[in-house]
Amino acid sequence: MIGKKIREYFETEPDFKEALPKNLKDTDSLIDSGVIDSLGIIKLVLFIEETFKISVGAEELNQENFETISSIEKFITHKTVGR
Amino acid sequence: MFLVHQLLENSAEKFPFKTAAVFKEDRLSYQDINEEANQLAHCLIKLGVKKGDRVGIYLTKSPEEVVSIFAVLKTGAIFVDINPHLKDDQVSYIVKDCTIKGLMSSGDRLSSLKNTLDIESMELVVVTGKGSGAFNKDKLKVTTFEDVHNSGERTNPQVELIDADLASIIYTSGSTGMPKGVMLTHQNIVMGANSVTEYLNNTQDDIILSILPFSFDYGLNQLTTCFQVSATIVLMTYIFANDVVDKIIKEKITGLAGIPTFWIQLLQAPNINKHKYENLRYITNSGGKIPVVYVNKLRETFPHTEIFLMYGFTEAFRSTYLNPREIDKRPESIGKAVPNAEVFLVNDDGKECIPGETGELIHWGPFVSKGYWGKPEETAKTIKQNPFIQEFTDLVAYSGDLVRKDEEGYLYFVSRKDKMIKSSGYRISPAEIEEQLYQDNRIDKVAVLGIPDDILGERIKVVITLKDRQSWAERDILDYCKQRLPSYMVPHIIKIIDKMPLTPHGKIDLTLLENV
Repeated sequence: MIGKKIREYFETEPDFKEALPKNLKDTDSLIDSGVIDSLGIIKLVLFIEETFKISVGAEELNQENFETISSIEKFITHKTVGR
Repeated sequence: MFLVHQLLENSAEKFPFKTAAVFKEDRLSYQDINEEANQLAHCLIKLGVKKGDRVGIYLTKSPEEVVSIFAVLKTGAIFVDINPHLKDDQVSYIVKDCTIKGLMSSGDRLSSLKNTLDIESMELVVVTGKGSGAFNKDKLKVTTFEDVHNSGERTNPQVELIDADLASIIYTSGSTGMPKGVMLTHQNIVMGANSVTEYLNNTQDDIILSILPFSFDYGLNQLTTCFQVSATIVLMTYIFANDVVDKIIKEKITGLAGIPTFWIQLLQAPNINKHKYENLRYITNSGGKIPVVYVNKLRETFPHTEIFLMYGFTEAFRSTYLNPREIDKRPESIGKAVPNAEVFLVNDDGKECIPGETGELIHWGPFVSKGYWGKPEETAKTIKQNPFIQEFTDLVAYSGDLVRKDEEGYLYFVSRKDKMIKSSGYRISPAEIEEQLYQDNRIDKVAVLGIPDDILGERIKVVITLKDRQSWAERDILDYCKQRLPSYMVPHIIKIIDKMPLTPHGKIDLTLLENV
């Protein structure tokens, strides 16, 4: 579900939808495909914080957490567990 | 070594097993890269690529991008590395402008290039990555990187070239209208690498981090200087400052090139102060001025590192650098001419400026490019006869930048002569942004201007009048821009007003729009 919301966001937001590959898998790199760049990431983080009610720390802004839809999902799940 | 691909071939001969490039966990040797490039070059030749043809490369930073660049060079063709952030409209403009014959890209990207692949001159496509992509293959010869890899011909192709032959076309924005392709010969690029390796003291022990795109001459130079001295280049797509810090430590990076926005973001990374960076021998800056407060922060954060503040413009690659020893005394200076270049400042009377006087910087030397592809009139406005030499034909490049010299000969950037905006390290033409907006019928008039900003250099402000004031909202105009322009060109400020202020000559009065 989290992954789906993220995918929908990419599919509808003007910043991202043009660069989104048609058959992007959850495990495909969003960075290598050019979907995310250093300016777009700021918007994505704001969306995640507002939608999932979490706070993303500056030290959590890295490729490990944001490289793929799967890794973003894992990151958000980890942050919301225990609430 | 006269030719750009000889930089690779030479290193492959001397140090075949040395790591040439690192990408994530992969390490490729000089022999690996040279042989991949050779296989691809032989394939391209079989597909009909000839000396002088233009071949585009539209990939994110990767070993494939490096291999593609050198493969095209080895065929004698001219490579056109296209910024991976550009969208279909901008890519199709470029490929049409230089009548590109072929394109190397990934299947996914090719699927999104509707207008680009339809152009008449396009004959062949090389697909990287998995799958061959869903695009119209009807009149195109298509091959994949996988096919090429098994094709077997690993020897250096024998193509007759001299260093006066064109090696690359680098697209850059012009002061009016759309981007222009700066033509670079093998000599331009090799001489540029020679100069930089000299003042940066590059050796084969260097491990250079590449975060700038190869579609930028500044970014491309990391690749050429690295291969020239048989060093190692670590390839990275820059998104997160945290990851850059980790990479610097993990790969023991000795040299890093950036632009002002990058340095400022890097300084804000939470893990930046956790290390001492003893291996980081030097960092370089170009593409704009770093505010002095950040220069000082860089010195505190990287106490063992020499900082090189530099200046250049695409039409002449690089003009000046500040000796790191001078940074204490003059952190705002762009320094003096780089090795094998001379710079002059000329005032409005065409005479050389005296110390303290501001004038346009002109560059003399072997980095002066051949001008703009297909645009002799535009070229003639920038590449002109040296005003100080009458005895023979000798061309210099006019920068369009106003610069001042102090009593000791150190130079300082003052401002652009024309309306170009310098934002986030890019030179942006207001006309390109206007162009996209004017395509919508609701627009009456558009004015695009740069507002000084400490971090970005300039913020892009767009002021609009609509035919019908109610027909479009500022927020929706922003979305429109985001879809059609690369992110660094998307305006930071959009304002709709009722009436555009005009000068007595009937032109839009930009000075009055700064405060709107």
